[in-house]
Amino acid sequence: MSAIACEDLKKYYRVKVRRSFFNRIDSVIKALDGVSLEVEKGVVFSLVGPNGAGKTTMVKILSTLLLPDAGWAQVGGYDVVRQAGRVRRIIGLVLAPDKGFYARLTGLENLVYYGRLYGLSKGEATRKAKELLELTGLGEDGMRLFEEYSLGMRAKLSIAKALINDPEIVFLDEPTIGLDPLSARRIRNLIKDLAAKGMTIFMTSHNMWEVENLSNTVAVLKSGKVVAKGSPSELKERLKLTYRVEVEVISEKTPDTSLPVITGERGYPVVTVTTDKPSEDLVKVIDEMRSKGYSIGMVRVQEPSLEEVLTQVLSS
Amino acid sequence: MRALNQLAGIVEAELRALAREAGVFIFVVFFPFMFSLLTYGAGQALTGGEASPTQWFYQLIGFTIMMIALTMSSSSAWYFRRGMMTGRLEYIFAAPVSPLTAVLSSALTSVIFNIASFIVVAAIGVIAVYGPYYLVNVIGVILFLALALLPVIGFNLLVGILTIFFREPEPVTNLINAVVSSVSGFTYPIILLPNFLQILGQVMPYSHIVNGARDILAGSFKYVQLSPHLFLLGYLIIGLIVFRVGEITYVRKSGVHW
Repeated sequence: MSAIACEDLKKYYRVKVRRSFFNRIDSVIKALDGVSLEVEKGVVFSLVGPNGAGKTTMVKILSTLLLPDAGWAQVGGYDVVRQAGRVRRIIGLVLAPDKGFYARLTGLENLVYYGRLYGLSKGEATRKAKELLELTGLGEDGMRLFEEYSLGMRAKLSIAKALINDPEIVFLDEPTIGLDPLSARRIRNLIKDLAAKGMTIFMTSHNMWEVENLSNTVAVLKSGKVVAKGSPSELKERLKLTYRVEVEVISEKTPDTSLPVITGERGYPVVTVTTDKPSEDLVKVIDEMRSKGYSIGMVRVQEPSLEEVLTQVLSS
Repeated sequence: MRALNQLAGIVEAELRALAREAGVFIFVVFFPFMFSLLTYGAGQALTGGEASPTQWFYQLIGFTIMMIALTMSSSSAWYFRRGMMTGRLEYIFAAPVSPLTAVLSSALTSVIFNIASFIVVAAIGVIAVYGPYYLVNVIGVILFLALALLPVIGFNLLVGILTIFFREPEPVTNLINAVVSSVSGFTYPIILLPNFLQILGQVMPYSHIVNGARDILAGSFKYVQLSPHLFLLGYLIIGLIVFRVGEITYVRKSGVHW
């Protein structure tokens, strides 16, 4: 059984577009337009796409905050509409890393509050909250007021909050947005740890490097539709994105070759090839250079990034 | 049991947060003294110094109950608004907790907070006007308020559900507060008002609360005065029903799930 499944999920927002002071027309925004997905248990699944693609709407439907207009969705085997109560017991949610807390309560008190919303007794909630403060690296900072927290600390507390009910599935909507590199790295490590423990993570992000490093599966959402899905490497392969092969030649002169040559970081000439068959072409270049008597220095194969995948998918 | 635990959790968090905003409590306590002394001073000036201290006490209790009425009528509305602004509301709805439990917890917090402020104001007023011996009557008022404020929770729910529809609490709460403070006899007897406003004042719980509180503190309360409060409990029932109907309508219209 998959952790999350949905089929032909649709959500439309009816909005009024103001043409002039008296003239307003009704308009429909298709936030989700027939999304079908399946997420295996224990994987990190990322939903990516431009602003307004429907990522947050998807998270809100799966976390029972919004009702779909059509289609169905199941989380942990429970229907998100008919069995919303059951879904809510087994999920954790981070919608915005710095929101949802009482400014005048400490991190610990905020977590205890959420623990009690999930039905834990005060004692249980306090014990669990302290455990999560340690896990997220907040420790003693749990005794400080939330309003004194930095954005990084708030993000950590959000993740701790999402774990207060020992969820099977965690939804993270842009968990590292606005964070400095160090804080973002800590959050990513935390997500990796949770995934290693077998938790299913469903996240959205605009940081493609982060998505590529954390996710087992990625789905690209465009105008409410899934336009590509697979592991990061599968997506790159499927789109036949080009690799860049660089072979440094230890020579004072530019080597005699028909291939493009640039000057490398160390001052030696570097033969470059852009290809979709990196292994074959790398061997060819090395063989050619050796046959001409050149010594080979550094060799580098640059993989296409997920950002290039996204750019290609969205522009096609 | 689960709902009670959730309710206790929310009340505790709200009270802790309120306790750290001492300014709110100080304002609620200070406001009745400031305005009652102003009106009493004006009365002294107009009557050539013949206004009795019991007139000041009348004003003091009136302004205190008015503060309670105004904050309690709109506490759910503000709970929703603050929840929307801080993102807390979405997390509450994503948790296995009933929205009614959340709103009732907020109303209960408001009751506890307001009774606490009333104790401080009433104790000072009673000592100043009637003497320390009458302090025992403050306990009677606390019990009375615990019953008499239940219909106000019904009002609170009605205003709260309107905020969910209109998103901004001010238009609704300002209108209700203007009507409530004009016709409830907080600072003048409602018999001074035209008949239809007197009727409006009588069918709302506030005039009965303020008169009951004054009489208990002055030692002149009669048990028959409790009877309107039993009928006024209808507001609580109406509030609960309207809140449920509003919830269903809101879900159907907006597609928001709770």
